[in-house]
Amino acid sequence: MKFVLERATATSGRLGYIRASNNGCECKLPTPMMLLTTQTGSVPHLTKDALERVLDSSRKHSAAPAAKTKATHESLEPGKPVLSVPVQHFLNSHEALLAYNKGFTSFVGLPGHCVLATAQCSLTAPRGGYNNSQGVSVWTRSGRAYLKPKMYMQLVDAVDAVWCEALHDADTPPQCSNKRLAKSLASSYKYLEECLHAAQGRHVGLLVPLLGGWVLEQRQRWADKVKRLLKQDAGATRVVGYTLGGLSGFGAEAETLNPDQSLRTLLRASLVSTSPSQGFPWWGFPPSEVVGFPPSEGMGFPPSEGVGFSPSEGVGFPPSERVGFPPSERVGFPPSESVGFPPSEVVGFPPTEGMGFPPSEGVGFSPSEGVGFPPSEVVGFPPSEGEGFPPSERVGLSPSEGVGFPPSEVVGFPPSEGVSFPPSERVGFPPSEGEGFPLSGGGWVSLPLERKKRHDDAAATSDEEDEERPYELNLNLACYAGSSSVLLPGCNCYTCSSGYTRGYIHHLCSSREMLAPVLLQMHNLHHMLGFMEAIRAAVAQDSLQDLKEILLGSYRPLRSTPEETQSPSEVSSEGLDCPHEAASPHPKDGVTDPNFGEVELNVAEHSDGVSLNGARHA
Amino acid sequence: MPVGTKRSYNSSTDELTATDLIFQGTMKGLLPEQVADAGADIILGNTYHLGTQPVSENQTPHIMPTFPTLKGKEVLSAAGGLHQWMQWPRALLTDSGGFQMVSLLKFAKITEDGVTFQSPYDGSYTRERNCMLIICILYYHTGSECVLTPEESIAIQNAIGADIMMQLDDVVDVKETNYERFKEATLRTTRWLDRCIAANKNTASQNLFPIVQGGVFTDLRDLSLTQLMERDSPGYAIGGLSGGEDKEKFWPIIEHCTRRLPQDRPRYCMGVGFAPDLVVCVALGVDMFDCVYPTRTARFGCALVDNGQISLKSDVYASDFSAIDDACSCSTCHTYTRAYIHALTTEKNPVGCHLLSIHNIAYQVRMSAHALWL
Repeated sequence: MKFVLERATATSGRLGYIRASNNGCECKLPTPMMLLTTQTGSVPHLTKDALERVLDSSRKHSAAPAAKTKATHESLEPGKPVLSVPVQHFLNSHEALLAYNKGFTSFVGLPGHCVLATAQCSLTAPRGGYNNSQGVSVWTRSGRAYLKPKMYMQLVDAVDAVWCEALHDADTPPQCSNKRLAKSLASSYKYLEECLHAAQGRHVGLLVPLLGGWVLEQRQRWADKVKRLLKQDAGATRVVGYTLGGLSGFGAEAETLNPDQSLRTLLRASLVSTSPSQGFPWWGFPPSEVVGFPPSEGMGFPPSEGVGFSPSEGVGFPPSERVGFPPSERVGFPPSESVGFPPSEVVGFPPTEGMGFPPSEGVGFSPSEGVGFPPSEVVGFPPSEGEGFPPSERVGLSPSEGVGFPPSEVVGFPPSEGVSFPPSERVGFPPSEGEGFPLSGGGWVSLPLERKKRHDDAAATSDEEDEERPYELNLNLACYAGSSSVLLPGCNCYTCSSGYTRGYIHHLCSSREMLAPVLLQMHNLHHMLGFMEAIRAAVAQDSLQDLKEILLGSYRPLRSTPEETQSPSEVSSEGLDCPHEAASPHPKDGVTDPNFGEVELNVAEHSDGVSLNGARHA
Repeated sequence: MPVGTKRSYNSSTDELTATDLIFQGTMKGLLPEQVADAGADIILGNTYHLGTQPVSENQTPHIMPTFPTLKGKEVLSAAGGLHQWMQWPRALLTDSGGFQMVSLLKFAKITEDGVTFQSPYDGSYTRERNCMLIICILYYHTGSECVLTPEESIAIQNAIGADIMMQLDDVVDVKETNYERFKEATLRTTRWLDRCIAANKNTASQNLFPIVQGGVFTDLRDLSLTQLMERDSPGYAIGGLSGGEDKEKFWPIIEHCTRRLPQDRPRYCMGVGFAPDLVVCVALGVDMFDCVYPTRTARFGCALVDNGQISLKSDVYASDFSAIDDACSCSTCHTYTRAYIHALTTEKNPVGCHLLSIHNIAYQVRMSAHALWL
């Protein structure tokens, strides 16, 4: 596996690809890229043929022009999206995996995809206080199990992972005690040493988590320790990149992470401190340069730093979405816990000075300057009510060109609640040569989804909320009952192009039918993939800032905590003015939504960025 | 003669249409393409109104329809019918809703007018929960009586737009043994058939099937057959025989009906779908069947195979790398092993349900086709 950095820009991050070998065939995985979250080996709600429909529709309607990169002369086939597989899902199937001799991806019905293994499932927050120096606790159907480094690496083998994140203690929520944090770091260091040792005899590429919880000094200290360890440890040859972790963004908690300045500082501390240990020049750059963007053109970033991943807890990256910014030789993947960032925050972090790029390849940052995804939006949605599903409420829509994804749509999240994104605007999606983003009529719809429990709170179902968050549609709302419009007029995903109406999907949602999350997931995933293309195109054109502005202009932050939930509003029985309904014609009419092209971009003027917690600086 | 045969419904008695099973406007999480690929030519939708728990005072009635009078049939009419709504390109059949109401509603009562029921909830919107149904008739209950008349049932079925629709019949309680009650039901069913025929607005595109009544009494069956056949319908259903009656009484009644029903019309035995019953009924001259069992059992992790069914949750299958059925050509058996489906079902992953539903539907279709050759 090799990472090729094709282009590093001043303000838009890095563009590259990973050459991976799959069953003897080499393929290329363009970065920034996102991973597909899986549960028990399958993308949530999707059978193999349903997933293939999504990947086909996404490929066919890909609007991305060829990235303007240096000539690579390599005509590799584009690879299928990488699967993120938490090995805890296979603890009870370990024997079966060992006995099966046709390969893990064949076992789960998804041959041709590479696998990145992580330890814990990002969709559910593990119970705190159950990790120790022996191993981390995971909960399976038979109860609690200890996952020790040796066992973890065996499971990593069993799932035929191409990359894996080293086992670490992720139980470090923002409010955890210093003692807990210290213990978690001590345990994680021990696990890391064991994983490095175990990796030596294996082919898997190891990703080293950059930890330290929410304490700056701890993050710096950890990064330094890891740096020293990698310089001396024989297993360091197997290290291919880093993940940004320790932020505990599992499940529902992921929505509450605020990728503000303090978070970015924490992440930068990890990235900046970590230097390549393989002889790459350590250029040293000011923290403002955000790690991870080492332009190879000599701007002062050490390409080798390979920053740019979403921390394991998923800052900024939906677990599924990990964007990897591997430094020239290192791949960074966001670990499973990725938090999502609001679309406005998109990708990576915007360096404060606008110079460095946030590992923008890694979507999911939500730096104020950056395009990012609201943590909530990232993959790995907080499962609704312990169902293990990401707040399905998230729907990510992107206009037909695939721009914009609903923040929530991150991969792998079944919009169980039937949220879907409204098509409102198109985001500047990969513009064709030299056109730049089509800002007008663009915009993307990325809506933070509401968690199921909000629905139960009877709080989050008003149309006003829909108005405020144009990125998503909550199909549970009764106002969609009679709708004859598709989710997003003009969308080319399976759900919209087949003609399933909002009314029908509303019916499925209110009847709690299993088809609801299937259709919504197909739509959302289509758009999420398209969003990544838009980002790559933006990076290629060095216009990521424009994309960010569009997103900031259209995105309304999600209420980040249940306490901030609005009070329930009465659903009036007459004249409910359903958002996004008025001018949404039936797709077969061939009429485009008149709302397109009339987006008013309210580009927020923010000094230190958009606060995720609803305090938008106007 | 049957009309509206533009889809794959075939009225010839040489072809068995295994009416696949049906549903809720959705086949348990499957895409219509997946259902069609599994071999289903026709699926069934029930006209009964589906519901959830009644909305409590403390709960924001976000599921309340926008307007109290919003009815499922209006939604469907606006959508252009069920085919369009659920994107099902092949044939559809709708039940009248009567059976579900009587068997599932606590307070249902049959009167000459129709199936009457009383909402136990005053002033609230109630949808009772029960499986099988798609089109939602949303009644706004004020604690007063609501009634499903033959006319209303047909109106809803017209809105659904299925190729085949069933008359509203007088459904006798499965525990009933009184001859007089069966006689009443037989005669009333005929009267309701006439009301259904009169109410049908789509005679050119939808086929209305009567339902033969009479319980296990051959004289009542004869009476029903005579009366219903006078109406010269495009096909006939044999009702009242899926309530678990004694098999010794079941077969003779089926045979009695099929012997008398016209040869050039399809015969539909409602609710019969278990493999042994189905095979025997085919031998006796029945053409169409319906059964929820395949998809229902799939949700519980069971796959249908030739000698019964296997429960994939069992640890026996944890390392069984064979397909569910090597002879099956469905996408599940083509791609996945029993071991993986075991992993999915034990981890309660809905993808497992989808895969089993696909296989079970394909199995049902294949089994029905084989039954023709016996």
